[in-house]
Amino acid sequence: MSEKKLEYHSQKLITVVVVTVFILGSFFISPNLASANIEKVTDTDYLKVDSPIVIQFDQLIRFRASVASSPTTFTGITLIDQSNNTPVTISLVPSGTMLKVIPATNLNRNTDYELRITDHVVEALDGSIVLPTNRSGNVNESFPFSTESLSFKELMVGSNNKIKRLVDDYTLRQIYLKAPERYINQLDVIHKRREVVQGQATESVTNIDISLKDHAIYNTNGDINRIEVIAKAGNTVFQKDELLNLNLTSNSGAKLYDFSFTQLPDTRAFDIEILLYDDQDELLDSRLIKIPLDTNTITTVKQKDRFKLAGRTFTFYDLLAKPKDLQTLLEENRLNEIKVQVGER
Amino acid sequence: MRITLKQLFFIMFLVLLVTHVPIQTLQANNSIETDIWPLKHTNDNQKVWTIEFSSPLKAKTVKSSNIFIEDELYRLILTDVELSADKKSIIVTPKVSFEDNKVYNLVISNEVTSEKNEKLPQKIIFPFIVNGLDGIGDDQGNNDNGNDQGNSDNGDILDRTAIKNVVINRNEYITSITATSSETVATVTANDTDMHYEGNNVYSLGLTGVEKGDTITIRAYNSDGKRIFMKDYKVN
Repeated sequence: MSEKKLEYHSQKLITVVVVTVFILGSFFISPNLASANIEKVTDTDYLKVDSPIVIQFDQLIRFRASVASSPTTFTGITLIDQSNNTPVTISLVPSGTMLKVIPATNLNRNTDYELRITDHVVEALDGSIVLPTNRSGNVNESFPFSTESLSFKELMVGSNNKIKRLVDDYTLRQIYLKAPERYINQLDVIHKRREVVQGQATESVTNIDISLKDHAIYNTNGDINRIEVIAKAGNTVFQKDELLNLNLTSNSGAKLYDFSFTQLPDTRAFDIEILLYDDQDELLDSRLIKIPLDTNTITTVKQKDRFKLAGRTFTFYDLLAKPKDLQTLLEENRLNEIKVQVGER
Repeated sequence: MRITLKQLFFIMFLVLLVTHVPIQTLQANNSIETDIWPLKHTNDNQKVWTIEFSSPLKAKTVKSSNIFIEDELYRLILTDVELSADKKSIIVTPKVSFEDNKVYNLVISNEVTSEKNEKLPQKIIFPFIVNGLDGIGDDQGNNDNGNDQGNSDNGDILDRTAIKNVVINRNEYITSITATSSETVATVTANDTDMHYEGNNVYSLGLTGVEKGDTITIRAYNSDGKRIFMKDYKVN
């Protein structure tokens, strides 16, 4: 063998050895490189508060032995409420290729959460690990999501509607539409304009009667805590008034609340907005009434709407299968009052 | 045209010459002094209108002061008004040609009575257009980018400024309608369904099952419940 050939074979051998060492080294140092992948994790901004959070793998999984022996006292996965940075009590359920993270109680509305994974809680059926690791072999993954809502208008209307994106990730049976709960039974407004009586100009006077539904009063949850009435036109607020600390927790709660204003406009139309809030100052129900420009001295408006679907939740699939229900939902509620969220299975 | 008189409630049908076309039941709402029917279309510039009732009419109430046609500027159109032999129909024959793309109102006063002296509960107006484009009107219907539809001269409009703008957005699931009104409007309907008040003179409604080419009829009412605007919008 010539010296040149020997040199060539030596170089080839070195290359083979280096590659082999690298492959074997990779196998021992980072055994997960050949393992399963996470295909999808719940990452929506619009998760339903009673939905599980799901980690989807590309193969069947099971608890690791350490967790399987005591599945309620696991470590390695935590769900953090980002609003106060506190953990939420959860349980874990491996199900086929999915790991379901199930909160012990409903999540809070309009809240940011983060699912943090810091250890191998589950593994593939052949015992290989399924969660990605760093160079040191540690797991450190976090997946944020929120429990905000979309309005049906945002979902469906306009060139920036979200329906296409949502349908890419969720089926129509996983998209939920909720009709708002209703607390107001009837509204009666009397607006008396200025007039001249016996040579004297009288002031304009407006009265608003708000009649509540029975369940708004006889509800031990004490939902309604504040009623606010705003007289406005566009962004201009003419006057507003409110009743505070109602705490309608007992049968003694009144059913009728009335508000009075003077000097509201006579020579232009204006709106009266009625807002009901709970003790967390979350909006429960609202109505908007128009006092049109009118040549009559007195304008009366009586508004008593029927809400057959108030508080009910439908899947989008159900509504498309029963267009009558969808039409009723649209007739009873403004598009931006219908809230949309998604749920994992 | 056919009108049925039964006690105080009349059921009416329009008839094109000898063809009887049923329209809808007359509203029995005494608070509305004038009942305005949906805009009808004809290609006949000398259209003879026949109004048929179920009961015989008192001949002396069938006269041109009680049944007449006026144009959009409330100018009277010369007509002959006759009672049929069975006294159940009124025939209105124009003496001049109707102009294309103009809206006319055939007006039936509530002074028309049956032989038993039963009066119509309210005045009735049948608006019609002659040779209107697209069978509706030359500027009606929405376009894809939702521009202002404006008010045409050929809609059934008592207050032309009552509805200033209508935007119709249709997708495969729902159709969203938004109407902006004047300050005098109290309520607005789309295809007879109450629209939701959004504030600042804007009304909205979602409808299902609306197809391309369908018509959405917008009606506006004042605080007395009187209809002051009606117009058809074509869905593109």
